[in-house]
Amino acid sequence: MRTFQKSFLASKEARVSGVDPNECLRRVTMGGKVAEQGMEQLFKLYASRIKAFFRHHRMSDEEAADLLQETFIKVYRSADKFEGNSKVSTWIWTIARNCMLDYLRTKKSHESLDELQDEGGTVEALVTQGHEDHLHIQDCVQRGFIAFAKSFPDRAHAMRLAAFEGWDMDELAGFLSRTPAATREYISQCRKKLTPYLEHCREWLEA
Amino acid sequence: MAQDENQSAQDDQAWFDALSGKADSAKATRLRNVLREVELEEAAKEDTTHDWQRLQFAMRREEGKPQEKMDSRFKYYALAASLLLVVGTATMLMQSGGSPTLSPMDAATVMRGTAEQVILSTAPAKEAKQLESELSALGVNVTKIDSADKVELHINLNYPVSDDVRKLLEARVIPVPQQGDLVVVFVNNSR
Repeated sequence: MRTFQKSFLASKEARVSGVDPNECLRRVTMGGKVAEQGMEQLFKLYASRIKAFFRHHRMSDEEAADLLQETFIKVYRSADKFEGNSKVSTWIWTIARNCMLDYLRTKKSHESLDELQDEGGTVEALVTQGHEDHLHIQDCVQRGFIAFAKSFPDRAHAMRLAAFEGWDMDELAGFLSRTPAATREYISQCRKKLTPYLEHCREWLEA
Repeated sequence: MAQDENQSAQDDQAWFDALSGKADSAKATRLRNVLREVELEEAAKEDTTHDWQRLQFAMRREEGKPQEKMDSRFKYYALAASLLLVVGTATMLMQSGGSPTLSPMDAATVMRGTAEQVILSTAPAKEAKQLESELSALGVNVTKIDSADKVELHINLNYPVSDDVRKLLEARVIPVPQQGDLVVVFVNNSR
């Protein structure tokens, strides 16, 4: 059963990127040059997005680079501990998020993730900023979402990951370190909070 | 009221499923496409070339560390090799019948013109004293240094080495060096 689940998850991830992260991780456990090749593939798949994730959480260039290193060193060291019960993407993103939370706890104890989540700012001001006239409707949604991300970076990123990685509720719960019930509530709140930011694009979204 | 909550939870689930590509909903699919696009656009802005080089360096440093990153197959090979070594050494010791075991001369340490020969013995002090007295009787200058588990004989050989001295040493399977002094170390192996 577990083998089936593992191979199913692996094949699904492989379809998304053309590279099978499970195979990459298996190579990493082999050590030497093969491990480096496996790491290179994983790095290509995730590094840029993970670095962008750190920046979204107000990390400086240096902090983002250091956290990226820490994340991938942890992946390298613990590749043989990955049991295949989740997707590789969930595992790697969880490591990245935990690295950042640990860093925030120790280095920036005056800021919490919750504080980072809610920056505020009015929806109107953010969404209409810089484009009064004829916007392409897709731009409208994009701008709306970027504005949402400025106010709720953690929620926005969770949604992006769910969309990009095709995570289900349980996988998102694992990434967020929340219970399934708390994650359902989190999703519900994401949906409610996002709605006003996309109000301008409602026609397009519902067309 | 409970029905509304239930409906709301179902809507959330459906919205999330569509967002993550697990269900069809035109609205959520459009949003999903935008989110994926945003994700890729922002990732494209990040230059990670230097980060990869830095990681490569860190990985090679990790690789160099003992006890880490060893393929499980190699762990078994290493264990098997260690066992063979232990068994082989034990067999050699048993075959020697408990008599003093000599390290071969080609494995002996040669430093600053001094050849060192290690002899494993159950009675190092006694054997060292015997060799010392026999060499002294042949006119060879010997200095004995005692310590807890071993006795060292620093033998000042005169060249060419006389036949008697040569026979005496060769009888104990101690190769005669080409030049310099000879140090014979009797090590206690009774434990």
